[in-house]
Amino acid sequence: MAQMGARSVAESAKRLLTGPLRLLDDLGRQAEFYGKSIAWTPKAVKSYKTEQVRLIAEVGMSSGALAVIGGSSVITLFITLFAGVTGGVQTFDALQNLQLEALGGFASAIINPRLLTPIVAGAALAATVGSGFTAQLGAMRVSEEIDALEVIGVRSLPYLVTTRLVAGMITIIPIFAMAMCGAWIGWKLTQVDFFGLSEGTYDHYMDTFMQWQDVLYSFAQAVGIAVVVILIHTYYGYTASGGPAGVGRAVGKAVRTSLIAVLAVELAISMALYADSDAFRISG
Amino acid sequence: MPAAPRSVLPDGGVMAAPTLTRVVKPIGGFFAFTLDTFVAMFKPPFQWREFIQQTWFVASVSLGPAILLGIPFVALVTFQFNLILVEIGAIDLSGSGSGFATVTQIGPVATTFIIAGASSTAICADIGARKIREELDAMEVLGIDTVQRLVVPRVLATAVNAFLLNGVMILIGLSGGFVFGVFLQGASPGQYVDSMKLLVGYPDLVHGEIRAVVFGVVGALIGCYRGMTCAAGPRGVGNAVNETVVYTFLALFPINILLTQIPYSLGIVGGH
Repeated sequence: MAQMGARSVAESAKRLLTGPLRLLDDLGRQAEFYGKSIAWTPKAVKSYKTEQVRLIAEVGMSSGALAVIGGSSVITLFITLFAGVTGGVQTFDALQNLQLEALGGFASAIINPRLLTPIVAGAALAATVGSGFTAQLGAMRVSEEIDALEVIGVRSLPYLVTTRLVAGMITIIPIFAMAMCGAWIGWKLTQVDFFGLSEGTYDHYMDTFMQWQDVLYSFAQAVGIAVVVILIHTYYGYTASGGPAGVGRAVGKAVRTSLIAVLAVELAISMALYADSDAFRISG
Repeated sequence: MPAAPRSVLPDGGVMAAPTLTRVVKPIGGFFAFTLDTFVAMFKPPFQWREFIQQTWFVASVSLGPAILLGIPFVALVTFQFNLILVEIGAIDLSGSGSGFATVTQIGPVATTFIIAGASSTAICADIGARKIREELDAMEVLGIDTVQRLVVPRVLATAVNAFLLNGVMILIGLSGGFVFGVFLQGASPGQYVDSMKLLVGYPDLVHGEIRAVVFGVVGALIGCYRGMTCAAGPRGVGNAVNETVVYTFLALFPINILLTQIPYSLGIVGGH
């Protein structure tokens, strides 16, 4: 009994000591995977054109059950539309408390491109495109299709991962444009049509405070998010193990990691772009 | 990629029916499943052991991501809000912005993200693995009601966790806002704390908590349903988890609007 206790103490001490090392090991593996998949880009674009085009179509439209309800672009549009309605409802009430409900257009011009669309569209991208990739690659890994690819002399990393990365970076632009339109339409619909704010007032404040740089910065965030989400999701799919149940766990782990990464990347990019003291101007 | 089952007739009109069935059938199935769960919830005996284990399991998969997701989420919102306040010379009101944004929307929405991304996916992966190992069928053969034994404890466990996670999110929000506003963007600490209660009050907190609990219940139901209906094979479980995240997001944002607007319209919250 005492011996067993001593052994388990030694074991847990060993686990505790090797924990940080294992974490470091895992981070190193991930970094290697990300570096390699980015470095393969020229080769993948040049050699796998057919696969590339097929993946671009698949990222935009999705496959399987999700395609039936419209694919990733329509799902993203739907989610940001509802997020825009929520934002409209919540800010209208807050501004009404201060007797400032006329400034609804101002809130929309600032909040939508800077906060709402990047956060919500990033989460939607991770949920639709990203976890779809983890499920696909994970299934390929556990049914040994990836090993089969290597055996017939196809390098699996550029063929499977880099092509998906490029497809994601291309399709994020139209998906994100739809998402941003969705947020603005939802917001305006709520405040003008439901709460009866005058349309002229709304448009006036929206046009006055809308800055084209914000939209551009927002797209910079979107591309950053797309790269990070797709790299994380393909990594967890590519390294899945433990049979069908392992694929399910890998998808869950990938979503958790990428949601955190989406917000961290957004914070980093928006602090880099907006921390400049005159990033926000009330006039001129 | 196996091709979707197609109608053999070349007639386009015949194709519409299977597509419609594929959309409508799971929705109907989900509502029937939800009703079953609520009936089973009040049927004794209640599975205390499974409930406590699941509460611990859901907490262990959600708490870490919740904290890591909450900090950048809050920092992002506070940072942008403070930029406006600095411009109009009202940085001392930073606390009111943090309090308002955190209690009314960031808390419940960040809880949504965690429920959809962490809890539901873990539940779906677990139930899906049992489904393809035919454990669920084995339980049915032994006369054990899987809904009562597996689903009810998970739904309640996620609801409890959503309630607590919302509290964690609000705490992170207010303290993160303090760090950002006071240390980085020059608000005064006393003013921050003082102005926190300007736009929100106790009813808003209760309102946010109720929404979080509803999100937890819906997220867990979707995870359990999709796990129990997942197809065999590696692609089956992966797709089930993928669809769980998407459906949870699709369901939770519309629910958030309804639950946000109805209490405002009824005058229960707002109007300080």
